[in-house]
Amino acid sequence: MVRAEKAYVVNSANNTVSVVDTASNSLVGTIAITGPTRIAINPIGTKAYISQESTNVVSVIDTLSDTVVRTVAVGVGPRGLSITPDGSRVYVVNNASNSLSVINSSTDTIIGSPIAVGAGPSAVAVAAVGSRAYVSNQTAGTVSVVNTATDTVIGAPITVGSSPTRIAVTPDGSQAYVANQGDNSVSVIDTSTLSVTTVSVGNSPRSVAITPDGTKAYVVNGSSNDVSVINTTTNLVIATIGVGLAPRGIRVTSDGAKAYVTNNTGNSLSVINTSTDSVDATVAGFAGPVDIAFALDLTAVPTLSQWAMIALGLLLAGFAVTRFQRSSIAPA
Amino acid sequence: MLKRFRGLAYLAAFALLTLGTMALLIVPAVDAGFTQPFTRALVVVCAGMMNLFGAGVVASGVVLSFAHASGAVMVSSGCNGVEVCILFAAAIAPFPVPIRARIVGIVVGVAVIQVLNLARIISLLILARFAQNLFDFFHLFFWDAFIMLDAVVMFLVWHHWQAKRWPMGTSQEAAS
Repeated sequence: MVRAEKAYVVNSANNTVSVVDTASNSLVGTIAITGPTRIAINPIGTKAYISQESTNVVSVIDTLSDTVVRTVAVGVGPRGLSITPDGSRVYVVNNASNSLSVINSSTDTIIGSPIAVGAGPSAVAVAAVGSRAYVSNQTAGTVSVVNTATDTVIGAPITVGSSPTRIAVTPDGSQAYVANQGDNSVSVIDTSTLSVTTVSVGNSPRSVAITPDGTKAYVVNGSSNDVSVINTTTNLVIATIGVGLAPRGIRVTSDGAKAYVTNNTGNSLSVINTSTDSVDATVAGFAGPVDIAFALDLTAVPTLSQWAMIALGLLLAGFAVTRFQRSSIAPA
Repeated sequence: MLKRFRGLAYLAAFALLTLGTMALLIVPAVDAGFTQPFTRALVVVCAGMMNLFGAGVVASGVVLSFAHASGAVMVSSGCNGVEVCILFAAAIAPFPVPIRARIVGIVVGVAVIQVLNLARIISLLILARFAQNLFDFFHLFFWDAFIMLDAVVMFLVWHHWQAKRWPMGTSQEAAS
């Protein structure tokens, strides 16, 4: 069953991942992880993958038990991760080795050799449709396009703004939004023509998230402590929302109703109501939060409880024995 | 004394069949070869039925969820109705009646339990999306009681039906 969604918040300052019940915005668990950097959760919400830049590994968390079940060695300095729509593979950028590692999520083992991308990759976004992944190369100021069917880079890198950090693709796969930390802009890539449109946003944009209906992009501005809201049809900023100190990551819930922002030095989450584009709540109690992801809060739904099974067995047996005592039926 | 022995013999057979079959489900090969594929198939069938009405439901392994909205249920081992079917079949199989009567009872009973389980899963998914406040009541109380009651009523109906069809004294097949 689902209560709501659980939010997994990566705390860079105390080597933990906090688990938050988004229905009540209360902390429901803490998982110890050394040097957590970024997080991605598979589509069915059963596994969370956390990159650990300082130890060159990705930890796999079973979201049903909220425990680390495996550690996968990747390249040097892993940062952003993204998972294919079918949940079968996890792409991880290795910032210091300029490559992209691919993890088979069934076995949680590395597939093939790392894919070479541009200099200083910071984030990757796998499109929900088609077979493309987009890698932002922070040092190079470019975006590499990867064919996820063949795990090869397609064409030349696309030049975007200065110091591109995180990236998000619209649900229909038609546009990729790249937050350019170095020049206070967002580059919008038309994925069919690979042409780029630039949208000015706040200071030092760090992250971007798109609503499930694809109508809005939320851009976190790390130095101006606010979020720019972009209409994805017109690519104009339609609102600016003040949030906590030094916001870093943002993610929209699966129903599109809320966007959660991690405030790195504010040690808090700002919860944005996406219908009013205003902050509904601020949740404290974190330690340098840098990223967030959501998982459906799943619990199994047994057909019968254990007690009901016992009761049913007793009822059936009791009735049968009673019939024997009342009749002269011969046993089999 | 003889009647008590008959009852004890039935109880022993019922217990052996139940525990033996339940134990089989724990065997990894049975789990991998039957339980898991069957459970995933249930999820696919639920998604297919809901999508006939344009519900936009996705089956991902053992998780049934709405594609573009919150609301999901996880159908794992124990949620697939198999244990209830085993209990029901184990109650009928050692009953001293013609083999045909037992087969009919088991086939019809298992089919009804599985259809009800499909309805249960679909209803819980809908509640998870639209009425979470009712979810616990339906999951923990309503469906628990309803499926248990269904199994008992089916057993009584089957017993009544077979007793009329094969009145006592004509059940020579029982030994077969």
